[in-house]
Amino acid sequence: MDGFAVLESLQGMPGAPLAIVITAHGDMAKAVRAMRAGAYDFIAKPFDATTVQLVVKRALETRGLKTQVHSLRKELGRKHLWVRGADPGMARIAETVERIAPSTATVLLLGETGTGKEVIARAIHLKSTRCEQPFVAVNCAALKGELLESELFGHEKGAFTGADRARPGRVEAARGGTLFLDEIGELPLNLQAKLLRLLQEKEYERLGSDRTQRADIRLVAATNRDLPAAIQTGAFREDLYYRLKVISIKIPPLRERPSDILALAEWLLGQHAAESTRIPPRLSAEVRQALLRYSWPGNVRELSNVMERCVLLAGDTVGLCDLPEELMAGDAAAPGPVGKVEDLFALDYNAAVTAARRLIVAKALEQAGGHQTRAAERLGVTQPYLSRLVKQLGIRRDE
Amino acid sequence: MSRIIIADDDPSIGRILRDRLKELGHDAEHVLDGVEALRLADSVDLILL
Repeated sequence: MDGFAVLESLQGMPGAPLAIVITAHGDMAKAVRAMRAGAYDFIAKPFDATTVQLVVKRALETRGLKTQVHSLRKELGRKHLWVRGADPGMARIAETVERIAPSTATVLLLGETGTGKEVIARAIHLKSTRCEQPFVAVNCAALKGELLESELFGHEKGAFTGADRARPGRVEAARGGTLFLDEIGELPLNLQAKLLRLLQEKEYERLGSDRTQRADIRLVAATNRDLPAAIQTGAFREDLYYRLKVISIKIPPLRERPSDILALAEWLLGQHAAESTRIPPRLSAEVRQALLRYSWPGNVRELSNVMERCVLLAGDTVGLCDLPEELMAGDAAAPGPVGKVEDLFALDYNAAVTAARRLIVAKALEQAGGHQTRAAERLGVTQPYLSRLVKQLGIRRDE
Repeated sequence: MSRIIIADDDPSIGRILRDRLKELGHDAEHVLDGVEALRLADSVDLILL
């Protein structure tokens, strides 16, 4: 394969490296052809060290700028605006983000799943002096063992089975920017030690390499786990915990900030409508009440999914029939448990439906001896769905 | 530190460039043909060929 075939192949490769072509003395025709084929520049033989240095330096600067532009375009393409509702707790978080963003301090974000930890991590990045460099997110629960280590720190060729080439890791990809480690509580102990060294010494090695690399990242980590409890069981390093929580921000679940629900719902409705190039539908009074009555176990992510569904299903106005079943019926925030079927007739429709669901689920759990998988089988639903119902309906173990 | 591949079928040219680029602080590697260079292309910043 000659140099022109390589240049042609590089043209069709997303994120391809730049190419500099070395030509024979006086072969200007080849140089022109190479530039037309997509080469960044050329070096004619015989070359001296200074020429090589200058051309390579210029190419790498261009490459760096291209990477930054690509990264910024990706950032802009994502919906990660800093949405502030009426809740005073969230207003305090917004103030904290403003204050700490310009520093390089490590931040630990705590909160239930779906509360918007990554949105806040991105807000910290975008308000920091590193905002023009990449924001790189890694979910520590998504990969295990060598794959996670390789994803974070990179690997050399042959470092493990299937590593047929060297690859940089996410720490390297985040150079100059922010590395967001989601679900940090799931990080295995051996990688916790390496992360601690990365934070303390700013040093790491690629998997399969002895050569130490320098890191230049700001770390933002997030978890919904109780890390102090994980320390007690030996699943999380105490020294790493204290390194991570230089600044700690606890994001409240949506049910604890009901004053934000409608503002967020309308904002998300507008976002999803814009994506579908539609006019956002209005929320009817009944729907507003249903949104406020629901306990949102999936938090803002669940609200976003419901609003996306409303944009797709509703006409000009979102009615109760456009909502998922669990919202139509209300949930644990409404009536308490009823003992027998006859009691249902004393309730209004929505309360009766919710009470009936509680009764059915509680009975199935009782018959299954509290075993959720068996109860789910009995009811003909999946175990995760049953688990969600148990949480939404506020069913206790002793019920 | 940037990662650079030098693809040149002349080992002496490849070695000289690799050593020079390493001196400049880059992670440089020499390969003998374009196929090998393309195989490594998605993990490098620059190819000299």
